[in-house]
Amino acid sequence: MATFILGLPYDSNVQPTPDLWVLLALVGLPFAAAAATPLVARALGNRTAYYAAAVAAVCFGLVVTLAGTHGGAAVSWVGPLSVSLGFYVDGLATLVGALASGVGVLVFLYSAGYMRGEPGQPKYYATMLAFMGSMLGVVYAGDLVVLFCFWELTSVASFLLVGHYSDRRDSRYAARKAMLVTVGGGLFMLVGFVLLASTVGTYSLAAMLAEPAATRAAVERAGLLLPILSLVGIGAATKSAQVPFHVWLPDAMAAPTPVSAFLHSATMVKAGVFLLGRVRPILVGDHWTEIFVALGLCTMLVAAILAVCASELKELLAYSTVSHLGLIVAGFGFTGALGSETAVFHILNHAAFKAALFLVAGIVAHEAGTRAFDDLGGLRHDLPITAAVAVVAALGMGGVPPFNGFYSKELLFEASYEFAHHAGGLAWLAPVVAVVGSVFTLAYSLRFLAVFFGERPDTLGHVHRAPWSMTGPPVALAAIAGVIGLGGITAALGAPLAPVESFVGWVVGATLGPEAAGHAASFHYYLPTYVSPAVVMSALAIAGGIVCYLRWRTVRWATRGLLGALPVLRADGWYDGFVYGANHASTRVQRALWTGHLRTYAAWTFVGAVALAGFGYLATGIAVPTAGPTLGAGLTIILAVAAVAAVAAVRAPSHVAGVMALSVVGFAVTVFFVLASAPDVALTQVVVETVTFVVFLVILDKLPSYYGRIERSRAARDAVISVLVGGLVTVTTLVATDASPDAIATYFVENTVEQAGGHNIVNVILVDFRGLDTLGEISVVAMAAVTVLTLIVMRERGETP
Amino acid sequence: MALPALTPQYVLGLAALLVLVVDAFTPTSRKNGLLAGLTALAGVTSAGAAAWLYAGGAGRTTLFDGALAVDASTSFFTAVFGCVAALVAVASYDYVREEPHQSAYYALVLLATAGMSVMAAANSLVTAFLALELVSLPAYALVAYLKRDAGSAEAGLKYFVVGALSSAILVYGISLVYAATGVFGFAALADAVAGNAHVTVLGAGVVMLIGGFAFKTASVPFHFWAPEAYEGAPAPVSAFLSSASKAAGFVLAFRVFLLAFPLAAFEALGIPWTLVFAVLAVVTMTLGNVAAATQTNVKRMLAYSSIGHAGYALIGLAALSGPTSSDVAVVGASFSHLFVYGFTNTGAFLVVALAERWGVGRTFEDYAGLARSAPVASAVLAVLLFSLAGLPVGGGFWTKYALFLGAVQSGLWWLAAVGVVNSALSLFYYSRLVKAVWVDAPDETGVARERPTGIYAAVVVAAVVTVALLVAPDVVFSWADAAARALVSA
Repeated sequence: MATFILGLPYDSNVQPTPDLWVLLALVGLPFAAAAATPLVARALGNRTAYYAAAVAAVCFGLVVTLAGTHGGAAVSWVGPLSVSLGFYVDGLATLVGALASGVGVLVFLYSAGYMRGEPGQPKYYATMLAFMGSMLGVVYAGDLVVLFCFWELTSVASFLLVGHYSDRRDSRYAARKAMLVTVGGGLFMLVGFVLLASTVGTYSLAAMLAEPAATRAAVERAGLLLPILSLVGIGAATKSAQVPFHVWLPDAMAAPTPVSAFLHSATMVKAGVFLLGRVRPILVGDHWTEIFVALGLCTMLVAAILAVCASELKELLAYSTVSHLGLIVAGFGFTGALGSETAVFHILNHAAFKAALFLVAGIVAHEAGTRAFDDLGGLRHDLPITAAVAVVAALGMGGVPPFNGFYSKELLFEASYEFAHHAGGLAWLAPVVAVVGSVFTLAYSLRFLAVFFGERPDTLGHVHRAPWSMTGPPVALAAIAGVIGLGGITAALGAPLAPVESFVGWVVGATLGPEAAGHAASFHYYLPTYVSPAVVMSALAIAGGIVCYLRWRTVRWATRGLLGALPVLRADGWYDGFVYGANHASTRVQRALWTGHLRTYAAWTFVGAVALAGFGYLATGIAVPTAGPTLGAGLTIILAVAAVAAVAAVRAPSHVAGVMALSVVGFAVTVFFVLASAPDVALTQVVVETVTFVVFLVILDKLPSYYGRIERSRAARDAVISVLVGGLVTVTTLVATDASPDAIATYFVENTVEQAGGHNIVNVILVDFRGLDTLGEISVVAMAAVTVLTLIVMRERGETP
Repeated sequence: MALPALTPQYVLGLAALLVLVVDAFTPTSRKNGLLAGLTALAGVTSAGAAAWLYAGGAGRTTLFDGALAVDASTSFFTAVFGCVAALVAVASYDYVREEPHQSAYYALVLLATAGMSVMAAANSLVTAFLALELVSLPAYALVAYLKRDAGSAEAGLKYFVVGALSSAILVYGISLVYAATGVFGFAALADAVAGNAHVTVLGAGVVMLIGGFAFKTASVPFHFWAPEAYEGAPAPVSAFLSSASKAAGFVLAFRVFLLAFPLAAFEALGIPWTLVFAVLAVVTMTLGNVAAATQTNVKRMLAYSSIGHAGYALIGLAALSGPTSSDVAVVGASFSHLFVYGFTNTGAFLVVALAERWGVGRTFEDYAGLARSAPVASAVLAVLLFSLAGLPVGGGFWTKYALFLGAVQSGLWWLAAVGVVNSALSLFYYSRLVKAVWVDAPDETGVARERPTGIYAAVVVAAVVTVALLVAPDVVFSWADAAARALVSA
């Protein structure tokens, strides 16, 4: 058998471990380049694209040099958290890393034409480069925390890129939506990572992947398999736009088309499926299959239906991307090598045809000025090269033999059939859904192609040829897709495309579970020459697809009707509900708590104090001493007067009356002190009361005399709060004075005469025991008096400079 | 060279007096640059002295008969305060240039900073309270500094009244603790609380102390003043209060609860104070983030977000569980969070100060398209906000991550879950501001903006430090670790 003889580095059995410096350079270079972009853009202007493309090309070169290596490299990063800056290189990383940098080169070249003369170019190229660095970081991460960091950075970069056309409302909405969904999902993923790391005892992916069986056993022992699976699954599903988290991707089409081609077809959305491939060796099992096959196939079908309903090119491509990502997720879902082969091969195929189609859509929109299907048709005369690209790519997308998408879809059919055959029962739904989804896929692929054929609408004005910088990249991508497709024919003739087969086989090997290991590196694909269940399914799908396309109006009417009946399929509801619900809750909390009134804050402060102290009492199991001291008749009367005056102060009709009543309370307390044989304290109280009264009167002069009626509800609330505060103080006083014997008082009674020779204990404390304190106090009072005097004197002189 | 243990505090206090002396001798001349420089120099010097003291590694030094104690946590936080004060002073150079009474402004900043660094050294409830008031009183005056501005004056009044109430509750709590134990010193308290007979009084006192600290840290239930005060105050003062003053409240709370009220003794008495902090942490972070979500005023949004961050930092007190190693980890996480927050949040508020100086208005709409006319400041703002949200663009990611990890390791997985949900929620409103600045279209295009050197320098430094702490967080983490160890295993 004749095969291409090419010395591929990973064919060798002994693979050296990667060099840490190369990895650091690979991930760091785009960030450094992004930081330098504003300066470069100032010098190069519209030619900044070539600078960015050169950076991407260097990265691609580094990815290629790393392809011969396998294993991890790490340097300590955050010691106390035992996080290391770890990298890991294997087949999967090489595949997605090559996509990120290789498609990057093409997209940057395309941008040279597409973004020419647009404002905000430095921002655009800097963010695109930073995105590429983040994506390479995700791909080569050898540590869970490192993976998470770069994962979130891709979301941030996507936020800025989706919002590039800042004057459009939809792009602003879409930017935030894309970020909130993907970053939020990333947080779930982080929790899953923390659980995983806490059961395994390390964050190192490299260590986990070195011993997948032992890692899985540890996770199962801890009983955390399902939580970890779900949490990591949510992270992957949000990033790869799986149902019901697919809401952000169609909106994200508001981004410039090169961004869509780069982020939303070839790279960022592949991060989710990359993650599945990354943890697949560890977590694959029955639960894994149930979750991801169901998720993937459901997404594939729903998104294919939505794509049929689409009314413009990019919307169609967005839903189609969701659908194909569903296919990849389902592929990874199936246990065994066949599933992995489906997913890995489709990652490659999808990146080739979908990026090409996005670039084609960009050319059409750029040159024809519209993206709506109704306004487009017969473009093959105006854009012949683009039309050729579209034929290769769209038929690949539709899964028509011998184009590249056919082979990976065939693998999906085979995997789903085997799965159903093996599991039986409900599992037969899997091949059925796969075929139905493929029917719609082919239908919308043909619809996309139709803009190049048929009648040219009269409304369509003159269409320019696109410049070479814009046609070159899609041609390159379509060439790759076409070559992969031709490989299937040559393989059927006995001459397989060895580099592609062995490369995919190598990548597949990196995603196999421990039980399937050893199956690696024997990947083959070819145009089938015999009848098998998968071939029958393919035939059904293609026939169905063609019928659907011929009955396009009926089909679209039916799917739009379905969508009208089941708006839940679009699933925007949950996101909008969450966002608007959060807004609503926030406004209400804000209104209730921050009224802008000082009295509200004072009220809440009191409530807080009561709640805290109440908790303290409850926690310690309070026992309020009941036996209070008995009061004489005199004291009882005085206290009764004070109580009546307090009530009067609350009910007083004017401020002055209230203050008068308040000072009655104060003077009643003074009398209380007199009767309790504390004349000096009483004297102080008199002075304080008098001063307070005068101050009040002075201030009242400046205040409005009437504030309006108090609402009943607020009065009731205030009453409750004041009773609570009073109760708290009473209880505290009772509890605090209950302590017996009173050590402090006894000490002074015993020592006053003996040590100080005085008989008035209070006086002795002031001038003797605490003499220094008194001195300090006097000094402070004197200083305050001087200050007041100064202020009064200065007031006469007016404001000082 | 062996410095006196209180060098940073001396530097700050003397600098405050020096500022007043300079003003007393040259009351009429223009000297804004001199005063700002003096203040910034004092801040940097005290931070440097703190780092020097930490590097010297003297362990714990008690001074003034045990009233103050200097250890690694003192130097750690003094460095935070010094740096924030320096940033604020540099930014104020532009902000208060046209205002009267500049010397009073800088002297108050220095006095408050001195008070904070004394709080970080407090070793008795009396010095703790005195230091706290030394921070609070200048802070009230600073908030009301723009006294011709109604918002500033009102904010100052509200801050003062709520502050006075909270101080009253704090003093009440201290008196109850004293009634139960008869001592003020932290070490003596730790001995006296073990098997204390007056459990009820002690319990009420301790929770009232929590209330007092909640005021200083702007945590529930004494958080009401924060949005009003931060919104009304001059933006550099808001930055100062929400970063440094908050951190000061926390270091004091940590010192009191780790040194004076050992958890083991309190659990034996039936007062599980970690539970109080756990509840407060949840309520604080949720309330702050929920209220921040729909703010239309940028400064107010940052104010609520700073309440949310108090909630995160409270995890350090809530997730204490007993074993030294896990306690050190979670307290250290809280410390480093406050360190990073000191730079990040100060920077964010100073960008607001910049916007106020440009007169672009206060709401999100006013900030729309700021990136077109001021790309550097806008990039800085995006980095700072994403770091506040806990995204891995700044050191805030590590510290938040460490906090949640610490909570999980102490078995408080629900606390970590609430924290994660809150982080997601916080991204919701931070991204609104980033969107406004970077994505939204401006009303007016091509406005040439002046570039006030001081504020620009301050925000760029803040952003650079924030990003540097993402790349190389070990410096801060190891210092925070030593600081935590000094308190946990004292």
